[in-house]
Amino acid sequence: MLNKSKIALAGAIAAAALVSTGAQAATQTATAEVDILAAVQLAQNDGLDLGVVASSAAAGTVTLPTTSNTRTCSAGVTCVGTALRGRFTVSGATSGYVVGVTVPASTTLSSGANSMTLTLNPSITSFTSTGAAEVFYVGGTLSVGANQAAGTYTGTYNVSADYQ
Amino acid sequence: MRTRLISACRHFAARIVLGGTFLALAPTGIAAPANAAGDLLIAPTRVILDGRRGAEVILNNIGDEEATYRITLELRRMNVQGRLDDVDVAGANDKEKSALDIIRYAPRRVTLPPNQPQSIRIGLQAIDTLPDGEYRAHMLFRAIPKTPAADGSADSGNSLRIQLIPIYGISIPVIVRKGNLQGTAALANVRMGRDNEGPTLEFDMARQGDKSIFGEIHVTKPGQSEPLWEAKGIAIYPEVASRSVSLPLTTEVAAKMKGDIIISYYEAPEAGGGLIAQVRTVLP
Repeated sequence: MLNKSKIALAGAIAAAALVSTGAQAATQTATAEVDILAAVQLAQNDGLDLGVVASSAAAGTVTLPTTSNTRTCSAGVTCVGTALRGRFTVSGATSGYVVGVTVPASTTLSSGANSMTLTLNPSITSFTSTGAAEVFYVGGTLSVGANQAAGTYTGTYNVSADYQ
Repeated sequence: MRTRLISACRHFAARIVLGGTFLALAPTGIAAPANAAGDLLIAPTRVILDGRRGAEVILNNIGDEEATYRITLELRRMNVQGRLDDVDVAGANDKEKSALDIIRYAPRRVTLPPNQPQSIRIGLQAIDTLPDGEYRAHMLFRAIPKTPAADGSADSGNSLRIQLIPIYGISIPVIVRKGNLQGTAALANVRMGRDNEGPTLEFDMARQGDKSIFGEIHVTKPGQSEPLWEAKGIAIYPEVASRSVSLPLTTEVAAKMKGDIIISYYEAPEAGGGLIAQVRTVLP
């Protein structure tokens, strides 16, 4: 469903060496700042997928942990198909660098005028780069309303790598 | 000097890194993304302003498609675990509101073709009337995802489908210092711990004064100059008087952290590399 994407971040020295005009600017303004050489790439390997859910006259929840792809569906909802945790790889940070990982507590999914809330839960909140790829997972709990209208619910959530 | 190709078959620009520092490699075991959109590079990863001059941050599209990026200022507050929690503007204190008021930057949205750098200029409003202190916001760079085509699948009966789009971002602190600020830090209560992933080295970091402290942790054995372990990019911000630091270790490194060890907190080399704090302890 989703394209893999990666983000890299590097210090001013790397940027200065990049190429064109922006690099020139980096060297000029780097004087007074503390320039930290560090890089990070963030890639999504699997999109968070709760499978297909059917609602009923009773409200319910669908929970996907960060530790496995086994969904828990409460009374009131019927789960069909398979689910998959969100799986991300962070790599390329300068070895030894501590980088935080932030995912919002929840996001709203909507389909036309209808909506549902999905709480989100990452498996790690920070990591120290070893130069090797670090894998982390995002799980969550979806709250399905009574007689929640059928349809495709879409939403976004932010995943950020944070420098202290 | 080292030259590197990013995802060699797709990117033709070489990045040259000075000082032999290791830069981002394509994630191992993962195929180069076929349609990577939003890949970005930002430098530097920390900005400190003193009110006399501005700064620039370089944003570069290192993906292989045109991408649009949004740049926002966010408020984050460090908690006692050292995490940076999001703060709603509604819940912001005066200092945080001031930070949002005084930090000016442009552009705030930019569309870049592949390998096109763009500089984001950062400046300050007049800060003469503000009390001395440190003001901080976090600049968040996000790639705006392309709207996915509606998949048009016919939903039968009462089934719900979910389509979630992650928005990738990187945040860096933008710190404004006014006045002659002082700060010190101290380390204590060193212990070994465990998190979900394995062994950790943990300790408490206390802070005094009115400015943030930033640097790197070196773990050494007495009499040995080569550190057993290093962790860089560790800060303590003025909103906390003390935080815990938990550093994940490999099993091999954890096995070496026994007996007499010294934990040192140094300024980053770029900031002078001076010793900020040190503690010597005996681990079981």
